[in-house]
Amino acid sequence: MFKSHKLILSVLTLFLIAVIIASVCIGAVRISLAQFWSILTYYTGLSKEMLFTSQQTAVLFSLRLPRVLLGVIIGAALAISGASLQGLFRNPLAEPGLIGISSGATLFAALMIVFGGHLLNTIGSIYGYYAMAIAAFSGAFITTLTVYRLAVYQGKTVITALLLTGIAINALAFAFTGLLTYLSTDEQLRNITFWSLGSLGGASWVSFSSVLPFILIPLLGLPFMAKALNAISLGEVQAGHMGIHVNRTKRTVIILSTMAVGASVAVAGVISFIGLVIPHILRMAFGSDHRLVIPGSAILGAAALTLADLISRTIVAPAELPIGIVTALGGSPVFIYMIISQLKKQHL
Amino acid sequence: MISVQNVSHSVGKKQILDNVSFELRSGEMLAVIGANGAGKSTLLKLLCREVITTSGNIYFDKKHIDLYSIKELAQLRSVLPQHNTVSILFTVKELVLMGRYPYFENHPSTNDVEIVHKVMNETGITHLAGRDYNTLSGGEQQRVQLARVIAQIYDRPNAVLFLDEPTNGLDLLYQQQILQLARDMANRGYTVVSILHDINFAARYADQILILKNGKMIAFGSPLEVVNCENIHDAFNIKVKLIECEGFKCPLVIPSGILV
Repeated sequence: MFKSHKLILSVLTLFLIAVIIASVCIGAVRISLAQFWSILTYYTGLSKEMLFTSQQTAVLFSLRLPRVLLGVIIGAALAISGASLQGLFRNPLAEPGLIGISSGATLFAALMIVFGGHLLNTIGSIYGYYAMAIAAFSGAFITTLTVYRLAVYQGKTVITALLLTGIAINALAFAFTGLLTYLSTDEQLRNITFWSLGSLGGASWVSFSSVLPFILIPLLGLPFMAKALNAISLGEVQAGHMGIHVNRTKRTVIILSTMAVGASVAVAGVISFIGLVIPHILRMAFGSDHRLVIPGSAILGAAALTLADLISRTIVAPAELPIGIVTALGGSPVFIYMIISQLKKQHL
Repeated sequence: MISVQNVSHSVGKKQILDNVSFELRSGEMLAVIGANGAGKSTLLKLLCREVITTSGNIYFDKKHIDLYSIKELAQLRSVLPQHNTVSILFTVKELVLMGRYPYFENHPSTNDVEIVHKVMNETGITHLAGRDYNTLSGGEQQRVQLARVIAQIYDRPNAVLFLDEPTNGLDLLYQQQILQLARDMANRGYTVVSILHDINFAARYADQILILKNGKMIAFGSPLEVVNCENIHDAFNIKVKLIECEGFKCPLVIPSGILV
């Protein structure tokens, strides 16, 4: 059983690496596999031969690589927090975008843009990103607590309350964000619009390295919650009987997943459906054991978002499709299928 | 093994349990009976420390239960609650393995895996091992849950097993299978505490019976001492007939009408 977990995770990792390589090579400036290999060996000192042009390395190192790596960590962050929150809410529909967590983060990010004044002069600098990440994290955290309070009754998630709370919070955050646009200057407006679209277009080494710690901590921490989340799927009381510190688990999962969501919203805006679809695919294929689903979601989520970004910047080249369109096209059918199958289960 | 001393519990102004005291030795099975709302479930919740008592003391093995860490407690008692829904897909084997969670961090030891196999064998669910829990019948699900809580204390012969109406909604065969498994645990030295509705089953399987009414203990003792017309009248507000029957150590209780 555990050997097979390792095997599945290794295969997923190989898939991720393949997607990364494809993604850094494909684009307006093409890099062939042989050229990519040559760049790799040249810069690691294994070979002295240069089979590539300097334009290719410039594109690779200053444009493609930060963008692809940002996609990797954000995809991982969204999927792992989706998987963990679903375990906590005991419901596969709990997704940061759907239940309002991402909008909460967006609202706080927008507040930061408009009222954070001097901090925002430095947006694009590492402190600007830190400020955004912390604001988005606070928004995500407050929203998650609210949703949990409203939707979880006696340790059980009331699914209608969960989704309706999500709709309400999304609407509220949208309204406030809209109000903010009237108060903002032109530059602030441009910044806010960027978030509501959701894009990896702003990727740079600075944005990548500034959110990396906020995402790395949840990525390393959440897999340790897997056993407790398995127990919680039997019920919070039952988990307590099994020696699980239920409240401590809840706190840790909420803090870590909102940290990941907040960080990704801060640099890339709202990207929905990754947190919903990726854990669902893994559960359908390999069962629900969180010890597999949580780390597996991180890897597959990274691959999926990188792939979605590759599609979004190549399919209508030289223009670029917002990545949210690509993830929604892939994600909403799965979402509808999930709602139908949940309803069927309730009526059995 | 269990010592309950002057335990009372109230929620708001409502007194749910009033001065309950009893002692239970290892290897004994206790059945708690009483009308709906008599305080049975609350008593069970206090005993397994799901809820903290308002006043009075409960000791496991002469140590106050508040002094155990949550992990120590998990290795000393396991609880089969009344409602068991599993929100995500788990196979039967994975579910039973969860009973071993208090013993391993991330990967079960070979001992844990062995215990899971033994318990599945003893509870007769080995053939269900690979099945998805949610596709099982009610009786099968209950046996799987029982296997899980037995696995939790399997190598702790000093431990206590708590069962909250374990036979609810099951047919007569499953009811007896579940109670027989509980009885076997007691015979092996475990202490078993079970809430039951069926007085005849309580008398047949348990060593001690505790009758509760409006939070008060109205009787505690062996089935022969406790099961009589007076106590049943008092506890349930019903008329009963007692019938001696060959092969039963205790007279059978037949409800025969409502007290006016």
